[in-house]
Amino acid sequence: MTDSSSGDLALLSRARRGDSDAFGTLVRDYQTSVFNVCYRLLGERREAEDMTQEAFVRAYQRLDTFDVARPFGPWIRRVAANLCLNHLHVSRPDLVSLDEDRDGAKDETTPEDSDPEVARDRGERSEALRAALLSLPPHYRGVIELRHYHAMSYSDIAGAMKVSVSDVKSHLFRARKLLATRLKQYDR
Amino acid sequence: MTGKRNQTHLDDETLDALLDDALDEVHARAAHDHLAVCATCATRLAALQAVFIELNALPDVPVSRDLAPGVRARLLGDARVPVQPRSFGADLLRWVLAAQALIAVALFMASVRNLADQTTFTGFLASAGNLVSAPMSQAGSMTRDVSVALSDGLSSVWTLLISATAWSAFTVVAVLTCALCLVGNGLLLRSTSTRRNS
Repeated sequence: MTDSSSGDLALLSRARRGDSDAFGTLVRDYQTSVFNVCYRLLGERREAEDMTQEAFVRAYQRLDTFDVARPFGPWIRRVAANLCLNHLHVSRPDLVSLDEDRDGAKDETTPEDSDPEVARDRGERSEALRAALLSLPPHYRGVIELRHYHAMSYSDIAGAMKVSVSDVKSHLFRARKLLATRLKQYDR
Repeated sequence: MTGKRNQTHLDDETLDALLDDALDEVHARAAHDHLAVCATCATRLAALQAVFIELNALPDVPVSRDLAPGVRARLLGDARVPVQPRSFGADLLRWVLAAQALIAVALFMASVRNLADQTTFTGFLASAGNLVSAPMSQAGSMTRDVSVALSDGLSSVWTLLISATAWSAFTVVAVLTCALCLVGNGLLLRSTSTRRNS
């Protein structure tokens, strides 16, 4: 995973002055890590690539608010995560309702997503994990993403997802439990 | 104790928080003390830890194409790209200049059209004088009538003077028109360019 360096600082300064070539270089440096944020959350390659582009465009528009003393990587990945979470919230509101029956989460998955056999056919354990992740309801996926891949605190996650800290704890616990169950099914 | 399950075991959320390093020092120490003597909770913790390890080890998937050109195209063509704040005065000046340039072009075109309608050189010069510099050409016309009445010789001299004046006025208007067009359009184009590049 690429992270900020003095080279980034120079590129960011140039990008802030309107140099789109400099920003293009930053896009190339960070596109893989940003794409993976989107891919983990959305699960569709094409959609994830579109969202990655959108994240960079949004980041460019907000470059003047970015503190260049901080690393660019976590910031742009956070922009992408927020964008995807909003996208999931807008496009699939029925799946992200926090008032739903939480124990009914298993019913929301498609057979292909949740079936570890599909992942086994692909021959990749990481694919099984991806499939298991995608089988989670979006708000469970969101807390996993923000906690495991962005190392955010419970309270920061609560702020980002506009839920209470106790909801964050609960979502994390349930999400991990579901992942463990599905990975166990894969192992059988 | 909050972290107990069925009065004996740690509850799931406590195990989660322990792995997330989100327990305060007192609760963390109590949890570790319990884990040291409880095989059931230690096994549950290990199972949960395996999920953490798997998640953290999930490899990145490569991007199938370079996304930079698409982003750059969006930045260059997207109207939502932030615009440098511009003052109202500067905007007004640009539009005034553009309007002036437009008026100058219209006057110039009208002059050229009238000049083109003239079939004789004398008519051409007289028309140029009339259209380009009205007061001057009016005076010129009146005087020219007098001069024609006086003599052909004087008329020829006067016509030469008028033509010189008309051509000067014509040249001044043409230069002014071009300058206004260049300045007005240049400023307008510059503002567009700044908007796109910012």
